[in-house]
Amino acid sequence: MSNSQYQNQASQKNTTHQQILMDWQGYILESTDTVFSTLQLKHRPATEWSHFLESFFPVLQSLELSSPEIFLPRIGSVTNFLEGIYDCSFMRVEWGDNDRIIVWNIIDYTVDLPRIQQAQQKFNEMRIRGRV
Amino acid sequence: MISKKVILTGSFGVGKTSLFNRFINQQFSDKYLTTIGVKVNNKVIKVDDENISMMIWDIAGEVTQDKVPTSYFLGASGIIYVMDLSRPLTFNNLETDIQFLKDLLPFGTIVIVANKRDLVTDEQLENIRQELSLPFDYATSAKTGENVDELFYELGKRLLQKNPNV
Repeated sequence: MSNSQYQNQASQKNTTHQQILMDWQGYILESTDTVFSTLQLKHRPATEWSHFLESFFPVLQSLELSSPEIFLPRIGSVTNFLEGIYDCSFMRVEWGDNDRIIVWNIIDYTVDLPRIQQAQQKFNEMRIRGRV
Repeated sequence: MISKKVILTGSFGVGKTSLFNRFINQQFSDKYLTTIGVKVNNKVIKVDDENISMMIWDIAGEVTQDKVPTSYFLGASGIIYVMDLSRPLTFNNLETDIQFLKDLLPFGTIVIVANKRDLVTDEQLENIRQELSLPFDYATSAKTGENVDELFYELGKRLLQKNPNV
């Protein structure tokens, strides 16, 4: 999906969307900084401040320009300092004369987390007790 | 340092997050708190003089593995499939689930874990072992810590043997 499609989706669901462009080493080139500020993170590769990206970066480096977007729903720890729940997607794109750019889209559902958590907790507890 | 992505999966309430917390933080809580989505954390372990960063993805439990988003498994080297020894329903889909995971990760290492060892007697454990369609690799207790470190160290060892440089 494009940035504007993500923004539309996020605004329809009353959530926040952030888009980040990273180079092939995981350094941030551009960011909308709408979910979290990347100001202090730009001098370090994302693999150093996100266990999530550290574990997933080899997959991103294997993407082709023609590869479909990878969608990872409900990630609870997109960075090592951010609590919440986020949908993430990744895509390789061409930007200027560099065709090794990764677009990282983040949709923040943290505001819904207590409600989701409560409902799932109740449902699982009922299933454990054999009532569902 | 070598990094390995490992997935903790299985039905809900089997103790995946408790194993995760026991291994990473040496902590345990009796309170059940359902996991939403995925939590990722890591721990560096030393196996045969080699430091391995175990990047563990603790995934929300699903009754069957085909309900877990397959994108979670991308880039994984190992899978820990967890069952609850005190709840037979959690090993009903063992064979189907393991086959599904093998198809998803044909070159990965899959470890089957029977958790909550502290809730069953030796005799009950033996009966379950005989009834299961596939053998489990470890009987663990996140509560007492029994076999938890051993599980991750053995998995680390197997991952190194299988693919030492990745």
